[in-house]
Amino acid sequence: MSPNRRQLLAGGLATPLLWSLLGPAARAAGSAKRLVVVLCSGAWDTTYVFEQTSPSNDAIDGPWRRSAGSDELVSAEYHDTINGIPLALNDEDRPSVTSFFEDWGDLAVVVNGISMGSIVHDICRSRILTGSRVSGDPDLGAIFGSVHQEDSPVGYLDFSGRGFIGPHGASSARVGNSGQLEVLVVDDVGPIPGPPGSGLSYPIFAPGSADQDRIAAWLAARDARLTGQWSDAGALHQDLQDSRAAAAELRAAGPDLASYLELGQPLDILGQVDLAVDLLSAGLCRAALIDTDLPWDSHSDNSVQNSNFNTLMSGLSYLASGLGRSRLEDDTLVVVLSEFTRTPKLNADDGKDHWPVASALLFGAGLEGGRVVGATDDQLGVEAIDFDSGEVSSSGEEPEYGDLMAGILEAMDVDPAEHLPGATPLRAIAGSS
Amino acid sequence: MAASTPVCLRRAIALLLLTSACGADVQDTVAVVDLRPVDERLLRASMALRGVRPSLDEYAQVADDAGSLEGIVDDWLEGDEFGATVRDMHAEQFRLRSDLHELMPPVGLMASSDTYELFEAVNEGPLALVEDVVLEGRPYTEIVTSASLRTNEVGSVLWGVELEDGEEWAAYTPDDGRPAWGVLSDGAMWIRHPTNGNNYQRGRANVVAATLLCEDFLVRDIPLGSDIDLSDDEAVAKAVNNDEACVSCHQSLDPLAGYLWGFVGSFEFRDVLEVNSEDCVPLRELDLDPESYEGASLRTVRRAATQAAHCYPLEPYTGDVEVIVDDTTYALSDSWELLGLRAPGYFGLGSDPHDLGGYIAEDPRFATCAVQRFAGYLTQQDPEDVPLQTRAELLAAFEDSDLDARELAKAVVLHETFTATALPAGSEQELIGRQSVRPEQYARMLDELTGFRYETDLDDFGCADDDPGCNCGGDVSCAGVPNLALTDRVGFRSMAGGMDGYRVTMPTHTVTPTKLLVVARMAAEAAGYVVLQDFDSSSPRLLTRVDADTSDEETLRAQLVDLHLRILGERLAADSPEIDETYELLVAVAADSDAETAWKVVLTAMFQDGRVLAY
Repeated sequence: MSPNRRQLLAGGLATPLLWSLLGPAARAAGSAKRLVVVLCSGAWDTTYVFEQTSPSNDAIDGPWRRSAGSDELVSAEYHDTINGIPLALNDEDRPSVTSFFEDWGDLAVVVNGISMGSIVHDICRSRILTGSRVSGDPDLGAIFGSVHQEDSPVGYLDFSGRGFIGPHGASSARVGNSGQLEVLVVDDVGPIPGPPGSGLSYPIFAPGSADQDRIAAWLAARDARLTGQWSDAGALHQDLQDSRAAAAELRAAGPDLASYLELGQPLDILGQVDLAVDLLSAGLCRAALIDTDLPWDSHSDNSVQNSNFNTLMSGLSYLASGLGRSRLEDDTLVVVLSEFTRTPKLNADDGKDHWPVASALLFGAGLEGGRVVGATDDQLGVEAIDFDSGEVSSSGEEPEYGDLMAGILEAMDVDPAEHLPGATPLRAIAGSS
Repeated sequence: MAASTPVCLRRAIALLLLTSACGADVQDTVAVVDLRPVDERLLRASMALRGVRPSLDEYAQVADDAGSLEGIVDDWLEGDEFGATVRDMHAEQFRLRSDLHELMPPVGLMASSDTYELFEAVNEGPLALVEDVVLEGRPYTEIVTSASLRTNEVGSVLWGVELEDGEEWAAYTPDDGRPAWGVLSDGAMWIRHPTNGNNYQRGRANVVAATLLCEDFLVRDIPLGSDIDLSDDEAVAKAVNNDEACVSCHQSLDPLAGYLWGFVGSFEFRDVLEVNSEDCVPLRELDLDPESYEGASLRTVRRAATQAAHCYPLEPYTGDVEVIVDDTTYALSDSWELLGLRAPGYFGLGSDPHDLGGYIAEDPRFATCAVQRFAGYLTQQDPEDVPLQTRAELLAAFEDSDLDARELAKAVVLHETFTATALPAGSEQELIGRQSVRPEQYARMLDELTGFRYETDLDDFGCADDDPGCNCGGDVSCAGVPNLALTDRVGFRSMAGGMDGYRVTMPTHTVTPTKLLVVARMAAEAAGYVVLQDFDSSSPRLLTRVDADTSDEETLRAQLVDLHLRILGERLAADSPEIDETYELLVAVAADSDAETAWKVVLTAMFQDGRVLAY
């Protein structure tokens, strides 16, 4: 943990530092070798940032209207284009949005108008993360982590618990809801009370390092013997052997890992960012999934989207700065997703319900930044687009979640046909980078 | 009760559904298969059904007579461990047991309980009912038709009910007018599956259809035209009745939702906390005379009833509360009528508003779905992936037993796809390969072998009430004694491949690095625990032949032979290479430290072995 970074942010000094001092050419990104996925679970309202919707359009209650049917509009709302990206802005309620796009917009691509086909949280969360409607398919981080694991102990580290590892279990790991990984990688977290009535504390027993080595050797010999005996194990046997190696490496990195974790303390977005940047920097993983854990599902009082977006964009600025400081900026892609957006109009509780169209925000490696791909119409419906240019086109097609994911995979030099054979890559995401 | 459909007719319909889809002749079963060794069949059946290893006596029985396996399985089906598996399976099916979602605060009337006691009291109720139905051999349909529900002592205070017997999970019959729909009448189901105002019970209706009929409306895409404004109640109401794309689902889903209006929409932690943090009047003590509410809107009355229902003891059902609108008296269970929604109806087959459970029980899809779910759970497949021919064969066994779920479970673990190493050429079925141990099984296995439960007392955990991980909301500490292997707030269940029922909604059936780290931690704790206990006990659990002073090689090897069979399912000679390796490990550690540590190390290793992690 690096408290100075949080202090920086708390003091409003989360500037892009070194990275921002470089010119656009120097900031032009190469192909992604690392990935951070940020999930806004619950469904954001894209009209608060990514979609410029007119107050004169009665079909849509944008952020300027806080109460259903009211004529009163929020005067601080305005539209502007920053670094080539048209945005909905409000410097009183969500100033971090403006500052993020001013600092990082030239590296960012906004994707609007993705058809989700459903308004069910679980189903769409799976679709937007995996690009697939097939239960059990792996998500973007799991795919990327397995492809780019190289010499890292694990390819994909899921901080949220919401990831889908699919067949890539052996290259994936979880942190736990409140830092539980700490207890698993170091022995002397305690004392933690043992079984009630036993008078014992955890750990009741922790083998010393020499005995750990003996256990590992015994298990390795036993695992090797299973080769001839587990003809019915499918991938399980290989997963076992790969996972043994990865678990051992995580244990070896235990003191480092534990310094970021505290049992009983869930990580907020800044804590997750700290951990992600440091683990990526240390080569302990190649992809990470962060959950903002913000109350996005605003069925009542939709204005909570203001503080959510403000916190999100602060966190993204913090992430971008952290990547720059760690010199990971050239090969890290950040993908920010939410399962869908919210209905065009406010409901009777001044909230908004579910709308089956999604947006995404990407920045970093492998992208030509400062662009918007895709669009919605004046009722927040999906527009048909040309997949190469991202422009609205009457001869184009409506992009779906699988096309989005295939386009992201392709932008990361991962063959989408291998993972999402039915999808058409949305090539406009990468642009001419 | 719905008109009873004869079992033979129901079965014929179900078989027709299955065989017409796969073209298989259920009578044309495969004649010859190559079976796995009987020790392996014994172990696989035991782990799948019970989550614990066979005893040494059971290994001896099948060694003497391989035909004794079926009788052993019959005995297991009467036991608590199988009951625990039934609970685990249904917890997964209904997504209960999520300690990340809406725990009940220990305040007011419940101040003397702790968070995890309340968690157990709420979540285990429906599971205890299912367990009783299954273990007592009653028709599985009773899980949706029983008037009698289950709870424990804490739950009896929470729900304000009288227990009917002295069992830990005792029966009670609600007297608040709720219908007799078994688990669907238990408040726990609807605490876990809340509905918001604009969803009109549809999400809950889908829970009913998806979990009990394997008919999941939500997996279907909505072909939504942008001309339907989902935020406009009138437009939505019109579309679900008239729009061709909407009607295909809503004509079935909405009438199903119509049954559920009697149940309170949600019991969010913060609301329960707020209501009970001050003096509150429970619904049963509140005079909700409809005359006093005359002229009030349905919304107002529902809100008043819901608020009172949040006051301990909780009232999950407010369906009999009445409201007068335009001189007509309505019960809240009829709210659909006032909201202009579809009347209760069951897929066009019936519309008695009190008999949802009966309709489900009579629906051929209920039995076929049970087959899919039992087979899917016990063999770690998606229920949709269970081959049609297998479904048909299992359904036949299930129906022949009058829907005794024990017979269904037995048919699954003795089915040739589970017991064979190869099927004859031409078989359309698929062998069930090696299974990855679930966290629930691993925890139960260690408990049975060693007496160790990975529990801790959060009161002494060392984290302050304002720490987010220890804090349930407001100023309420998440106190109690969770089993860390079976919970997620500070526990390891989902990290070990389980589902938390809220964020993680699918189990992981393979080995992952995180799972191995959890297993390594639990293995060492259990080994440390059992060695301490066994060396201090006249009736040891595992170390039955040795004590801390035993150094005789023959005795040590005999002990290792027992452990290899009991823990790993390996029947080995004392001079086998496997025993040699373990003996060398034992001796090497003992040479550096002492016998107690050596046995702890040996057991720590064994509890992490591949034969423990998969079966």
